[in-house]
Amino acid sequence: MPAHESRLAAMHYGALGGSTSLIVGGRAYIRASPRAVDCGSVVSRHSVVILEPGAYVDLRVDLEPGSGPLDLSFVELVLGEGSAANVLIGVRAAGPSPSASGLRAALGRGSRLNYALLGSGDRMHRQDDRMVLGPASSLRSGAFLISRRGAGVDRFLGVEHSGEDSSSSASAVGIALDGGYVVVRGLVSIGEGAARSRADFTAGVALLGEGARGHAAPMLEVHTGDVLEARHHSFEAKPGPDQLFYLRSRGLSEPEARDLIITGFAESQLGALEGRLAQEGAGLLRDLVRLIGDDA
Amino acid sequence: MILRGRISRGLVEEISRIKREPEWMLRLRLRALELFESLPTPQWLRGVEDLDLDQISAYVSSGSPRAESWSELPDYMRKYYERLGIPELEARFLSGLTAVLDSETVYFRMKEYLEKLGVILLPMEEAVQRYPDLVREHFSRVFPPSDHKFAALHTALWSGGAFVYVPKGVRVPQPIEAYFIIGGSLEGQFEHTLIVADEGSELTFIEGCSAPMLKNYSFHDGMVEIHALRGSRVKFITVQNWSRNVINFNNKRAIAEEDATVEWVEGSIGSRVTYTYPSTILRGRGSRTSNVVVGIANGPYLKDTGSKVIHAAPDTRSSIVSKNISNGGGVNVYRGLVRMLKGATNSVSHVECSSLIMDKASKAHTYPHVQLEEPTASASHEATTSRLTEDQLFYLRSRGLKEGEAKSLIVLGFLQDVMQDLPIEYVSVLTKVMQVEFSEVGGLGRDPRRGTRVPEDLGLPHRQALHRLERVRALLIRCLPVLGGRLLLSNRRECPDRGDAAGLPDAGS
Repeated sequence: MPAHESRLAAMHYGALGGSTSLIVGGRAYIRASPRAVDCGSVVSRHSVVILEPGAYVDLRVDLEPGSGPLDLSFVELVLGEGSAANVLIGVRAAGPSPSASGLRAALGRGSRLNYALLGSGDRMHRQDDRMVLGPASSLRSGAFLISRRGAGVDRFLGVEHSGEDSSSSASAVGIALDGGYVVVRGLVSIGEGAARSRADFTAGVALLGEGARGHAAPMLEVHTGDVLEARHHSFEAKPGPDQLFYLRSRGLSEPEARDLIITGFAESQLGALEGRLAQEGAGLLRDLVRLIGDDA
Repeated sequence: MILRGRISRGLVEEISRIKREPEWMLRLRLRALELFESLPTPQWLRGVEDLDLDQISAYVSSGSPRAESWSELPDYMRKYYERLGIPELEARFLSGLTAVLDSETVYFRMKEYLEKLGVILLPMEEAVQRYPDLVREHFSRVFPPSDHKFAALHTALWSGGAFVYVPKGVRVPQPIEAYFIIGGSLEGQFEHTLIVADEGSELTFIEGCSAPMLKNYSFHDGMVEIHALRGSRVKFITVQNWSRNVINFNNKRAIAEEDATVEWVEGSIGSRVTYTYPSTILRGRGSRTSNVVVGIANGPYLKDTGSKVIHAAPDTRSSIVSKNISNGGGVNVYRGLVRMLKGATNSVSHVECSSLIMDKASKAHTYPHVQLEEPTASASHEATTSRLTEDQLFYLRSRGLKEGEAKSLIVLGFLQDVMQDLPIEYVSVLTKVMQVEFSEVGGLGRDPRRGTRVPEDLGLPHRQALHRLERVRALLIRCLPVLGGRLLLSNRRECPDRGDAAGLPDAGS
């Protein structure tokens, strides 16, 4: 993540208040809850995780930004040749201030990244994830975001295929509850050197409640004719009257039916995770749905 | 007469003076000029680095009076149109025709029955003078000059184009066509087409564009405005086959009122660079729009096309289908927006984009955008980019097809489902065009450096193939004089600047 990548990145490095770095060999489980170091107007923290060739890591990161006037948190992940990572990031942007966080991942030859993001925002939050895929590497990514109470949640996913035979499958669903505003967007780019690559990108938004708004923009750039297949898909999902009627006819109240629908959307985004983190992801989702239910 | 130089108040006033316009139109032009000067140039534009607006001619007129029969045209102009097959097309297929050369309408004719039906079809300038209230009510109301820099430029400099008014309940039985030719290099064409379809009326309008291959670039910045009133139906078909050194900006927008339907069919074959996004604002309950966009970048050219739909009323429907083909280093871009405003209850939109990349050097990009503000509305988008594979070619070649035949067959299969939206006359010709464009030697004449000359260093089979394709082209022109000629001729070989009919290639030579 170079400082010149964007204004956000420059601000992040300029206000950096704390950083952590880890080098992983063999197998490891890491759980991190980076805390903010308030150093003035912007709160910023940075973590770097490097996987040695052949290493495997389950990495869980819990973020609760919003403690400073602007809260920034980024994780950089470098996957060595033949390594694999399972990454679960949970974001609960409930603080009083706007925030931004993101994952940067560089996938070395033959490496594999499974990534799931679960996020909710009561304040403006931006999640900015960018991945670079080397030769024969693969990415599976799912993201589920909820915005409510007039908050705006903006998720951007950038996937750059730079190595041949690389593959990516990414999807994201954003739900806007009453007054919420959710943006699910991204750019998958297959570079000139990424021969025989494959990409699939889905972005969806669902509006549940009055005054909710949502934008979906899954973008695709194919810079080589030697691509196996590149697809993208966006949709707007809404629980139809039939769907709600069916659930209510099974004895569910309207909030329960809504929670069930939300859970259905979210579970589909956790499919990328494997093993231990798959269970943790399910637990995190239950907490998220409970939180929404309690507030309602 | 040629007006060239810095785009200034004086230039705009001179155009308005030549056209003897009313005060309100001059004021509109000057307001647009102010906007042009203040609005920024979009940063994402590519392929227009050498465009120098101060270098191009903003207004070009031959000075010949407008003709109402082909025999009244000067010889060189008449030959020009005859080689494009326009007179025969008019006789067989059209309700009315307006032909614009450079900045002025040189030929205009409407069949008598249209007049009896009360249809108004006029060159735009004449409509401004004869129906000022009607024109003023709609001109620049659908596509205001404040939208972007090139819309402002167009409104400041517009010249030529057509005005169509279809009265209540009138169904125009045959299409009306406007045909635009840019005859010179470093020339700007800013034609304006305004269509008003009154309640319950129906109209099909065809727009054709071509230009000979000239030494320097030319610039096209046209505009189409459609106002479809309650229950009306308008189909607007564009077959754009500018030569490969035309920079093409096209501003197209429609407003559909209650239960009205607007259909756009955009065939973008020629030009060096094209930016066009036909758009519809669904303003009335139950209004509908469909948009079929075909972009072909065959050679090192850029086609930046797409569509925009704004759902602003309940129960509205939109459908966008985009088919792009990139070959020989061509770049195709789909850029689209579907917006569901609050209150567009139960509205539905579906977008489908397919891109076919024929070789390693070509590219395809897709930038869709869906904005939702209405919980009861739904929108979806599907896009696929695929390549021409060795397996596909091998399979077809094993069935006895040559590589060029196999390629054209694949391309036609790719386009098959959008062909159904075109009139049958166009389908047969486009089929032939594709067969020639995607033959084993590439599009004949698409590159001015190659022209139709047979390269000396080609082996005998290729030389024979070139000669054979040249014969096919000649045969097409002879057999399909109505449309084939103008689709195939426009981008062939370099010829002298405007006004020299001898510079155009001979049909069947």
